[in-house]
Amino acid sequence: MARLCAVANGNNTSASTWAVIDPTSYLEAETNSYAVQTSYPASSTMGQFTPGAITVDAMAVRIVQRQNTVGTYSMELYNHTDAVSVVEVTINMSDVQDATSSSINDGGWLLLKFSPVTLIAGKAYVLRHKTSSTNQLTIFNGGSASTITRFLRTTTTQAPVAGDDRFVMGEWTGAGSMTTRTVTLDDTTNTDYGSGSTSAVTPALSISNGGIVLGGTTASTNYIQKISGHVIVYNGGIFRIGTSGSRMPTTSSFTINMDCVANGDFGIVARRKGEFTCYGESKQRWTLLTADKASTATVITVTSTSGWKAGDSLLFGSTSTTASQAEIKTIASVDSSTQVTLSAGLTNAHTGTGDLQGECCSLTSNITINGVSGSVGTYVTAANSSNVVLDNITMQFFGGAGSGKRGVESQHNTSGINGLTVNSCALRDFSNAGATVGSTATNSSLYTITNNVLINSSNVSGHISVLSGVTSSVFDISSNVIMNSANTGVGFNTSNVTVNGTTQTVNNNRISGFTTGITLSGSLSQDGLQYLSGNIVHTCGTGYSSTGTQNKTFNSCTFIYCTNGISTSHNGKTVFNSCNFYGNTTTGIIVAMIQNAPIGRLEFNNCNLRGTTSTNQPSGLNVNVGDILTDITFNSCNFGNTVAHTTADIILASMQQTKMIFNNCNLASTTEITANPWTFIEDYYIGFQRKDTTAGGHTTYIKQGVVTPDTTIYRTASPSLRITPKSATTGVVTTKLFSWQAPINSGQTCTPVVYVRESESGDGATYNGNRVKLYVKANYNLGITSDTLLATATSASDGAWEALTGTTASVTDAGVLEFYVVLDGTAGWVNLEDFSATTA
Amino acid sequence: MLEILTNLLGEEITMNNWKYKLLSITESVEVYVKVLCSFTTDDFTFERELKFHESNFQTAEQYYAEIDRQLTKLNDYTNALAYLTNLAAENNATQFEYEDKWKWYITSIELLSPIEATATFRFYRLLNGKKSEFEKSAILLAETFQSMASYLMLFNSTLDQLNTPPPPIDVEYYSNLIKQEII
Repeated sequence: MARLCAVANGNNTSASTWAVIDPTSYLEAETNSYAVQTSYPASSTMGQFTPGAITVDAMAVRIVQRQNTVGTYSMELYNHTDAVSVVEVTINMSDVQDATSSSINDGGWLLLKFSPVTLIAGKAYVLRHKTSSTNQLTIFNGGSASTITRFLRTTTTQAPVAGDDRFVMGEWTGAGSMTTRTVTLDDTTNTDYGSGSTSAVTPALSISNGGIVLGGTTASTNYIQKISGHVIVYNGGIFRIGTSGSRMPTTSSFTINMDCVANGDFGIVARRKGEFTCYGESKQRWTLLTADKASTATVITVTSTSGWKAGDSLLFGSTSTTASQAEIKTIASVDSSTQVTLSAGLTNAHTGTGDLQGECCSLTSNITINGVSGSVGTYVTAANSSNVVLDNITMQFFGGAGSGKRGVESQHNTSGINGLTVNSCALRDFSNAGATVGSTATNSSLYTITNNVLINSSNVSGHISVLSGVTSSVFDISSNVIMNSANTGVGFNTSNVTVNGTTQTVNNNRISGFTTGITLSGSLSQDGLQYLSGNIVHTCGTGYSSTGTQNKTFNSCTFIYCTNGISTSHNGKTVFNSCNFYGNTTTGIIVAMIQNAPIGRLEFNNCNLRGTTSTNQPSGLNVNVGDILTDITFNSCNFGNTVAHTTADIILASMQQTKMIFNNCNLASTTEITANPWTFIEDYYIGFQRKDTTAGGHTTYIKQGVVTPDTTIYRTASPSLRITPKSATTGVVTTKLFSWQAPINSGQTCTPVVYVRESESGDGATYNGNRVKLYVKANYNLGITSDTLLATATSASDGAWEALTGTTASVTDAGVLEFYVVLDGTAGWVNLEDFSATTA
Repeated sequence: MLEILTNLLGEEITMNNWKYKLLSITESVEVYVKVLCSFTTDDFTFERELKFHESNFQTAEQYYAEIDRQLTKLNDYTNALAYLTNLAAENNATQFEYEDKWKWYITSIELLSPIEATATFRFYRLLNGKKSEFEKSAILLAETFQSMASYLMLFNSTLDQLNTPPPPIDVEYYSNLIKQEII
């Protein structure tokens, strides 16, 4: 194994491009930092090496931090044995790359070139460093001054072979004078470069300031780079395959095979101010089917076939409740801008019309980065303030464990330079997250993840995970297809991240095949708003779930063919505007609040909930609320229109402390509400206003009773209040919503009156409960210390109006008295009208 | 729509254990009709108000299909309870065959009426010779019945949670984040 340093601009395979690094002088470490002094230290304290009679033309050191830019920096090759300076090169401190710290290791190599000198056999040499001013520079060592990082470049050139590590960096020849070195990767054979070190400290391909590595872009050439070891792009280094203006030619390809032995062994890492950019040929990364296709279909019509070719792999998303119906087929021919023919028929049917148009995604690109297998993956890391652009490339077998190895990972990109862009790429078969972005600092994060297809990650925390974001982050995660055929894991996940909907967007993604499609969690304050728009979540266990406290708004999102469209155990307010909940096999919306949480509020505006022609949705809303207060409001929503819910529009499995209001909603299913909605605690209710968008269509469920307006039976004017009791043992108590109140002065009494009428057989059913009772509610401030019976109806109320009235005790202070009635029964009802209360 | 339903009033349909009869029209507005129906099995009868909305019901066949569906659901519910009752009898005798994994069995099904039951499930595991167990119960209503599979899923999902250990905390990741914060 040799270590080679670029010595001339040229092709990777050319001997003239590379010179051998003297192995006796080579030392690379990131263990500790050494502060460069204003004079050379004694050579006895420096690490000595005896290279023999070789000719060298450059010396290098790894930079930790450029602390300041005052004065100059000098490196000296010194003959320790004879105490003679061999050569010294001085540059300006401002020439040194602006590395910031040892924790992010962005400095890379600094190489100073000089006229070739031949060293003396048997002599020990050192490299010494000094600056003209104090506190200017720190450099890496292996733990002490004697192990300062270093190498000498010889003048011996040779072409790289398998196992060689390569170093590319610019050459400083004096103050302000640097020559960049450009190496073009021109390999077309599968040479396995790199020594196989799993340490990122000793990469297989090291690109430092002034070093440029380009992928070959000659037409009709299939380039390949097989690498055993890391590719590290340090501060000022550049690794480019194509550019946005000159992409990889459509007749060519470039393949990077990261030859890991174990998962996450090797990756491509762009450190701070390092550039790693790839631009493959532009193509329609994903589109939609435009016609339904049966399970044997070979001719597929889609919105666009732009850039597709025969031989490309197409991924078809499931359009049913079965995630495993996602499938990959091969294009036999591209017939038109909207049609392809497959080499073999579809295994499963896919819809291209109706409620869910199936996704059709290209997984093929002419730039690919590969790991080894689904369990032995590589990774790409965009470190702090790096510039990583992955555009129209395919990445397969990615992901290791731990920081920086979660597939394609962005780590805290500050606002001073471009961050991570992953656009129109295929990310498939990852053993960890597809794309992960994490940030904890107060600087902005910049990342763009758009128009990609992510398929089959074994990671459970999210094919796209945004971790610990900050309110000032700037990101766009939009128009991605995020898919898993295994119905496991999470599609999109945020934790403590704000999504403000303008500079932070998560819009128009299509997410399918996960245990949970979208999770929004964390402990942001309720002001940590999240806006998600236009996302379609289908074929998941649960479309959306949240335990986060922040307020959330979903606009025009669709949850279809999941088990539960959404499941909320949230704390903050969540609003759904114009969202659809279709064909979810258990329910459209399940509300299950967790205990010990603050009040949660749900609001649905102009939403649609129903089955589809292929898949029943048993219910639109299923409430299974424990002991927590919940407000749920539906405004102008449609339940069961066109395709009814098979169990009920609304299932109230357990209701105790919930207030639900349905304004102007249409409930079109055969059964509107199931279970016993009157079993919740006093003062809580379910209210329907303009039910079925019908004028006067009001119904309120209170404890053990249902209250409706009665336009047929009334005393003075239509309507009266009809209360239908639901229990023979527990009375309907009309407190709160249907009580009436009267102001009263100290020392006064009050006489409430309400006319009551118990239904008889001629009305359709006979009221079978106890006689209606009139009560005044306890008011300790006014001296009434218990709810007090004022009157009981008599047989006079059987099918006729009877005034129910009584007089309270005189009160001890000024205030307000509240009056209510109690009734019970299991058949018939009671009408109430003409409420009044007179004080005296 | 109203005429179709009026014509169907009084018709009695039988399917397996349950009978169904449209009793009366209770509400009729422009876009829907509500009817009172009775469902009868053995000595038990209950009534329910069903709604037929114009967006879903235009033809007599659609009404008959809906009635069929209601009866089928009731019969499926009855069959599901019988299955669970058998399961409870069998699984009480289950031996603890699995080390280190949670399992469940049904300990009892209490039939409150032909449309209401309470099921009690026991979750257990044997780890290093030590038995851990707890019970959960559920109310099984005909009104909210979806399928036998959905009943089993109720408890299998709990089982999945019990048997899925939380992912290990990635110490390296968080320590790196902290380092960045310090910078």
